Amino acid sequence: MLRISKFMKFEAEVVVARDVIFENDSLILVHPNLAKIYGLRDGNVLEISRGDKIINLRVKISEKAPENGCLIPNNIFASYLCDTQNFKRFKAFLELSDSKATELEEIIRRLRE
Amino acid sequence: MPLTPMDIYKLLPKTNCKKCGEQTCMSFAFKLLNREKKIEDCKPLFEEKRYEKQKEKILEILKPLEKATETGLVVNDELCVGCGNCVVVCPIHVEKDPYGMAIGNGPNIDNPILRVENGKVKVCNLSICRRYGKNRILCVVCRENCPSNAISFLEG
Amino acid sequence: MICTGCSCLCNDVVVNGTRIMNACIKGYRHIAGAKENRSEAKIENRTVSIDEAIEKAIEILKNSRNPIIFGLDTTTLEAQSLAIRLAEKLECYIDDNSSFCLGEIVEAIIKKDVPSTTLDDVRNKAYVVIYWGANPYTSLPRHMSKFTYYPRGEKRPRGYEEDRYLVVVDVRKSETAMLAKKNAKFLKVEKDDELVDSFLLAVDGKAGKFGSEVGVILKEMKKSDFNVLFAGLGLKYGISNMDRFFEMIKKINEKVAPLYLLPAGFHANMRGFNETLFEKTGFVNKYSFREKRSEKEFEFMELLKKECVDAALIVGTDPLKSLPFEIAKKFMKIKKIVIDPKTSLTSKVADVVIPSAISGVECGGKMVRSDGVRFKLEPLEEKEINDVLIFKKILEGV
Repeated sequence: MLRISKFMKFEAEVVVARDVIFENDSLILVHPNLAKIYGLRDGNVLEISRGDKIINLRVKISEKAPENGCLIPNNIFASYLCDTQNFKRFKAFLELSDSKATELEEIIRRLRE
Repeated sequence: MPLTPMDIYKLLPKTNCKKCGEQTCMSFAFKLLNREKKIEDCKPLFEEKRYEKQKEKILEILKPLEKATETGLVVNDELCVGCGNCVVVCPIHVEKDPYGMAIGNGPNIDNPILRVENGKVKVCNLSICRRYGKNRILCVVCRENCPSNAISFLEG
Repeated sequence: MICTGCSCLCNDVVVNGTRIMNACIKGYRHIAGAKENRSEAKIENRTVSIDEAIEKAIEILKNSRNPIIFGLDTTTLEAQSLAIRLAEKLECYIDDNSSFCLGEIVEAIIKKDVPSTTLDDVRNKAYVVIYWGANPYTSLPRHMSKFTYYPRGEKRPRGYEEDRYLVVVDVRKSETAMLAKKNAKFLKVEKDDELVDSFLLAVDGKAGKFGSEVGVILKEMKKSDFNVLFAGLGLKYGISNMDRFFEMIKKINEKVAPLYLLPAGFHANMRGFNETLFEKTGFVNKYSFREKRSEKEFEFMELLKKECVDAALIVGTDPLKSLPFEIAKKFMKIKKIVIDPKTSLTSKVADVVIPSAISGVECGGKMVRSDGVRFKLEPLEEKEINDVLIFKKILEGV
């Protein structure tokens, strides 16, 4: 069966929280409920966009994420997407991507631009 | 998935031949899981060719048993963050070390059951664990208070 | 030794050759990983001697019209005092991570606006233990086992089994929330304000959105003369009005039962910075020595946003990791001096890097735990070049 959801771009809430184990990884934790709706699996890459900012993060399905939402560890990738008003919690658009996860050096390059 | 006696029983010859010293294959499965019997005690499984496939399967599902300690306790190093909850809640620790582990500190006794070393919990001395030996009880306090599910028991 | 990996300052850590006993994974990485990713003295990415780096730092600070000193949360009280003296001499801004962390809560506690306590008293006496927007599993791994919920205390001999009641408030089912089983409650909130309102209403006998849950919690609090609330970053960013939250604490104290407030989770000596600056100026952070006052506009992030500073002396912290992108871009444009024993994202892009010693592991001094108790550090060695020496040299130079 063709998974239509695969081509869908959807909005979800993202919470930023510390994580001892995945602290600096380019990773997004997705709640199983959300993963089921959009057919996401461990290891998929999601393109996350907020305004004109776009990054790719690897999916990890986890109940630690808020229900129907996602969690990004407290790292430079989370900081890249956030702003002062929405520092630890914001909404972003998510879409499956075929690209690789964004690397740290890429963010530093964008900072230097 | 924790291993149950039923999982093992399904793969045994189910002939109740008693060659292992047990009355039934089911009770053999129980004792196998409790580490009172060894799989090699099931003679037909190893001697008769027709059980070849079952034998392979059974050896496969028993692999986690080798990693487990004598009480069936398994610690997943990758998940443990060394919070020490298990060390502090252990009823034996509380009894034997009232001014150390019982009040949240590191052990003051020489041979605790569990201790945190290099950021992960290590199993040190199971001989005093309530799950050990003849009069054991199915205590699961350490697992119940592990926030990352790093502790599990074979029986589930 | 005393572990300086986080603000718990665990004092029962034993180092036995390569074996580090009792420290959690954060502490283990902090102590065992001390020799990894060390920073080197650098000027514009060119390796230099430490003295040259310090000289260059002095030159930048002297030529700067509006510098800021930022960080200082992982260094000792002694180094913090010198940094404050330097800010005074330069008549510049000084701020630390607490301005976007739990500074407001520490300020209310230091000013005695809300009742607070020590972690040792929590262990010995606390009955209801509330974690609000905090997940100690990741930020302070041993917090629950060493101080709050699990240990047995003088008045709580049966520990978590019968003598304590755990409440976890969060927007998600965190690891800590998973532990809220028997004698416990997990409250999943969407808006923290709603829960504050529910508590305020319940105290006056009315029912809010979380009426029944709050009723149960208040009833449990009444059973004891000692309850404690740990506020985490989730609370800080989930709540729109911190004063209402403080009012809630005060009202519960007046009308229900004693409830003490403590901050949960931050860098090893953040409270130390708040206290040191408070003693000197009467303010805990975001202070301008030129204007002799503390303002929201003097926050590190605000100053960068409005482009009010042209140089930053960053001490033992990595702002680039946590600054929102737009602000990080502005941060890139100013002169950056980093004093840090380790490499960080910030040190990678800094104009000057001055390597230092890890406080508590490679040099001694004093630090303040999150509850205000002071500890004398027991380092494994004493390195000659540490934050104190670096600040002394900079002070002489400017």
